[in-house]
Amino acid sequence: MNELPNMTQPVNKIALLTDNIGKIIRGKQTEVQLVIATLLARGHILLEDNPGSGKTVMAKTLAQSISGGLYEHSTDGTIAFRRVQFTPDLLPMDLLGSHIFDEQQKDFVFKKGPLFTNILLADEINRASPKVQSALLECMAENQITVGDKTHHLDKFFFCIATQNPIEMEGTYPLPAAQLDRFFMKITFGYTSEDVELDIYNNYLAINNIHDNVKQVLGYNDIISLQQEAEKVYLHPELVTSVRNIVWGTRKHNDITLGCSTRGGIIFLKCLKAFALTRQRNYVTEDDIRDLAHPVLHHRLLFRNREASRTALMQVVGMEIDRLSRMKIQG
Amino acid sequence: MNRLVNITFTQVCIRLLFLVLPTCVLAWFAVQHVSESFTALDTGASQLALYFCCGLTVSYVLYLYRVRFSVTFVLLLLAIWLINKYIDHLPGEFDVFYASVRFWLFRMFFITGWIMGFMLAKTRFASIIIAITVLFYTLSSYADDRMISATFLLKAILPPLAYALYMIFVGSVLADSTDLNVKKALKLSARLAIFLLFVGSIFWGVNKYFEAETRAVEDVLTQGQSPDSTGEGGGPNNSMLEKQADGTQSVTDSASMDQNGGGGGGDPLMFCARLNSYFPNGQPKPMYFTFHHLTKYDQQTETFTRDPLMPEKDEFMPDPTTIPLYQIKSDPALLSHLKTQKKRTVVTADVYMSDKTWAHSILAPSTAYSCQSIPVDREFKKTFVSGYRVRSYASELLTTYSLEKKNTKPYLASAQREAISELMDVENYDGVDAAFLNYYLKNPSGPLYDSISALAKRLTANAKTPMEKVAIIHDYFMSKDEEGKPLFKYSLKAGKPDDPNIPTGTMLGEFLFHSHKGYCTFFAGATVLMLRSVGVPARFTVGFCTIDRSDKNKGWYWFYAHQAHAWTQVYFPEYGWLDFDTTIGNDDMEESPQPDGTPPLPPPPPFIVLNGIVAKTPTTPFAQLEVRYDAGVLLDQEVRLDASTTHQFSSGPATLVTLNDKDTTLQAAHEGDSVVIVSYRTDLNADAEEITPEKAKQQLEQLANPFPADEIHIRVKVPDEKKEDKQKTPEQKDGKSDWSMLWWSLGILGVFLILNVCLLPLHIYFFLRMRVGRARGLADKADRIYKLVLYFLHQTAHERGNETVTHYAATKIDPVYAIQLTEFMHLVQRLKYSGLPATAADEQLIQTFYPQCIERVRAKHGVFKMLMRLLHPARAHRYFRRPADAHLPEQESPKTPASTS
Repeated sequence: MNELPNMTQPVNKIALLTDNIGKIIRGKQTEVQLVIATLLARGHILLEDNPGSGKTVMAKTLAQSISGGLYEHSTDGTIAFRRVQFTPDLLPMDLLGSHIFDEQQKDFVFKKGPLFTNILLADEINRASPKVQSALLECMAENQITVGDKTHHLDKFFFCIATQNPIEMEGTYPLPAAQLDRFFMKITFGYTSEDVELDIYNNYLAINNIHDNVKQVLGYNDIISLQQEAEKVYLHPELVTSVRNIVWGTRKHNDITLGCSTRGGIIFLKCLKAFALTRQRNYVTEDDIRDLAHPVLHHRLLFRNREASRTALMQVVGMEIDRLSRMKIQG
Repeated sequence: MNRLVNITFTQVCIRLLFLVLPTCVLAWFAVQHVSESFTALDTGASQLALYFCCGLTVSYVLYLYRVRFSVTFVLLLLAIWLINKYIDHLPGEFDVFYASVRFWLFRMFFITGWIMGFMLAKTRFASIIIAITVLFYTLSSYADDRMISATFLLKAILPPLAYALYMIFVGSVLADSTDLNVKKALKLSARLAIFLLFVGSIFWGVNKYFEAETRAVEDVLTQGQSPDSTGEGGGPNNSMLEKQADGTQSVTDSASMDQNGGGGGGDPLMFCARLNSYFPNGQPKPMYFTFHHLTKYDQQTETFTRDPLMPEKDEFMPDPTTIPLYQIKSDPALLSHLKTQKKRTVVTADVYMSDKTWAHSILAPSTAYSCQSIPVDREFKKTFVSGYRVRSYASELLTTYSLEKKNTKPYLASAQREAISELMDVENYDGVDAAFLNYYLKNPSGPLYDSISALAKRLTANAKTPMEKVAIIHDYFMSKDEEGKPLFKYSLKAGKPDDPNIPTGTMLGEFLFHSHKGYCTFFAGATVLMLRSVGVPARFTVGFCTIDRSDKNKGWYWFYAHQAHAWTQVYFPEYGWLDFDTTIGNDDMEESPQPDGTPPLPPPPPFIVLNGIVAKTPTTPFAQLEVRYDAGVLLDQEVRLDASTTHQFSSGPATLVTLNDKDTTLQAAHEGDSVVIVSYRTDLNADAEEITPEKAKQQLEQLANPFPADEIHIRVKVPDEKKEDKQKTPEQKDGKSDWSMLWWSLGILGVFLILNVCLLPLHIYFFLRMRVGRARGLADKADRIYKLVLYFLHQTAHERGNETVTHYAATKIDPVYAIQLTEFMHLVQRLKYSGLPATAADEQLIQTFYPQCIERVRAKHGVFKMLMRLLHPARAHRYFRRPADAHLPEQESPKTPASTS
């Protein structure tokens, strides 16, 4: 990697974080990178995979790696982390919090729900009713909660990791396209490679409680500064054009029934910048476009058929990559 | 290549309409064309084309549905074999023959069509190959044709060319596009129609715009061809030229020569001549004017042809129009071959040509050895194109005139009798060169020639001397049958004049043994063959027979087209070649005498003729002209000076000054123009007989200064050269080779182009490499190296597809070649997108990367394999293809983006 002189600080921080998580989440370097990129882009991420593939561990480890935070309920000095298991009978108030009558003050006091946290793990989000889903998604978009006539602001470091299981289709409420659009990325973990899997087992046998290994490598303020850093990443005008072309390409493609929205495009730009930073660069390249196109855009599109869902987006992106690779170096 | 797997009926129909139908039309055209050259195919070209199209269509449809070729083809061959077997069992011999011939043709065309259909269905470029083949075939076959006009050429080449263009634009699109439907096809055909309209309008416009030019070119071409053919083949008018291929004089062709003459109506004057040949008593002594000796008998075509390799060549054939005025051209080598020793005399003939095409050839009594260009008096310029004076060594013996001919003057008859009686003394051909004798006695073998030989031997059984044999054969042609009528009859309708090119005809046999009707070439040809078979050397001669009709102008003879003639020359030791005419008198011909015209005024014998170059441009019309000369003619004595002299020539008002044959004044002369100066002054004390070369030279060097000139002919240099070129080219190489040269060079050019197209990938590589060398600035250099390396690796190592360059480098290239391409690609990415300038380390990498990259790849593959891969055209094509058209590689799961870090 080409490290730039003025880049060492954020690069080191991100490397620390990645390595730290990498100790627990084995062989998932790219996914970890994507999660961190979403975090740095101030977005939220949707993980879709079979149970037991490490989604929850991922979220927990991330939370344990970061110290500080403004919420009082954080234990061990780590950043506030809450996990909510979504079930069909979950109500919005279970999430947001509710007014409870305080007998001493003879008044209704707002009891904050689990949403008031820095990192939220919304487990199996598609099992909850749409009402709950939309309540969560609104908070994600607005970063604030309105209960009754009072609006409560969430912390500016609010990162939601939602998961959903693809196989348990019965008794689920699939997220509509409009809501999927609010997630910056949707990634799948997939199985690790055979060697890594064996490694994981061996590690588990050797050290019983692996979570003791996780250190708090970054502070709350580091994350905030990294988020600011990500916004400063240089984006070449030609790459902005490319993002426009890709967004338009998805709208024109015969096998894509619903193309990417403008919001999707903006999110793509944000993610590109953050992702470049996780790759220890302060400029975006065509590699970032290629690697981010699928996680960022794929869940926003509706495809004509299964075949199209596999190839159509990469066709559009491939054309753009080809164009970029033939572009002249301006110097 | 994605082949058609599921093809619908509509798609088949569209392909039949757009691919097969044009191919069929082209096939029809090609078969039409082929059948022109092959008599075997003369059974209805459309029918043959239909066979072809059937084969084409059936096989195309079959193979479009992916039927196995080997199986079907074997079945086809089996069916053909069975049908062949069946035909053999047909009742009736004629039926078998007829049916088998028909079936043979059918088979040939059907199978060709079948294979074409297979190619068309299976290969994308088949149609283009077909078009190019047909185009080449037409071009090469038309290259043989003499009468090429621009429109004709357009007609011949346009169909295959149009087909080729059509196929290039449409064929390849249709050939393997899977999603073809009616709508698309209609759109395509509309586009095609516009394209054709465009091309057509261009053709039309060019034709219209350059019509005048093409006409002029055509004129030049036909003019260029005619002197050539007259110089080689011979014929009085253009209609003959079409039939004569390369200087052969066929029995039938000279027949048409006579036919044109005797056919009444147009009997144009060819030339007139003053023959300086008289009997001692002052009576004119006519001689036949020889054009060519045809010495070789071509059994294949039954014609006598000119043999340029004939032994002791005694033909003198310069182009008189290329000889400068008053200049003498002679062939000294010819004199050594001259056979006439005894009774030799020099005959001078002034020939004034009236026919343009004949003006390029020498017509003179045999055997001419020198030719001088003479001017035609201006009053006669309308009738006569040019004039020349030929000198010939002729024999004093007059043998030509047949005794039996009507209107033969008695003194001619007596002269001939005398000559014959003298020739009777020649006993045999002992002492004659054996090779020479063998050549002129060579007779073809075959039943016809055997019977001719038998006839000749029977007739001359009792003859002892050659002359006796000649006389007997001559008398045989003049003899009468039992009823007292002449045995032979002069007829222009001999043989099969309607079908003159039929090669099978035993026309000579028909003439000699059955009909006894024929014209001069039959008589002459038969005579030659008969004489040769009895050991008398003879040759076939063509030219003009001389008829002395008028006593008004003694020594002047007029030659009309119908006087074109063929006769025999017989060799007698020491006497040389003597003319014998064995053609029986043609009543029609001699009873319609042509009027003799007024002979042109012969120019006074010039005293001095000088050829020089104007040394100084004159200023006033009657000034003196300064001319530099180094050669001249003084009283018929050619003089060549050792060094060129510059001399003043004065001109008076009476002096005739011409510029390219048009009247002008001296002012028209410019420095460097070539000039001919003629003087008729005879006051100098010199006599023609007395003058010796030394004396003439001396006199020429000591001319009075200024010397009065009587005629000054100026020729402007540039057009003069052009004209000379124009006349020389057809002389050196005939029109045919001119055209075939053109086609050859076009062919070579085409091959060169194709070769270059094949080498295109390599060219691209070198082009990119050259660009690297010329890069300005580091970023530019990095860019060019980047492009070069991408192309180079795409060709030699691995195709990139839609990968990003870094990913490509990290996954495909570096694990195999270890050339640190990843590093370079990261650098490129940074330069491209970071907006930051390159550092010194970058510069180092850019400088060193590319040579070692190529080095590593070469080390991995070896030079040959690397070169072969570099030349791969499909790869290069894929490199430049837009990814939208590209066949995307199957990506199993783009779920997890691969990491490059």
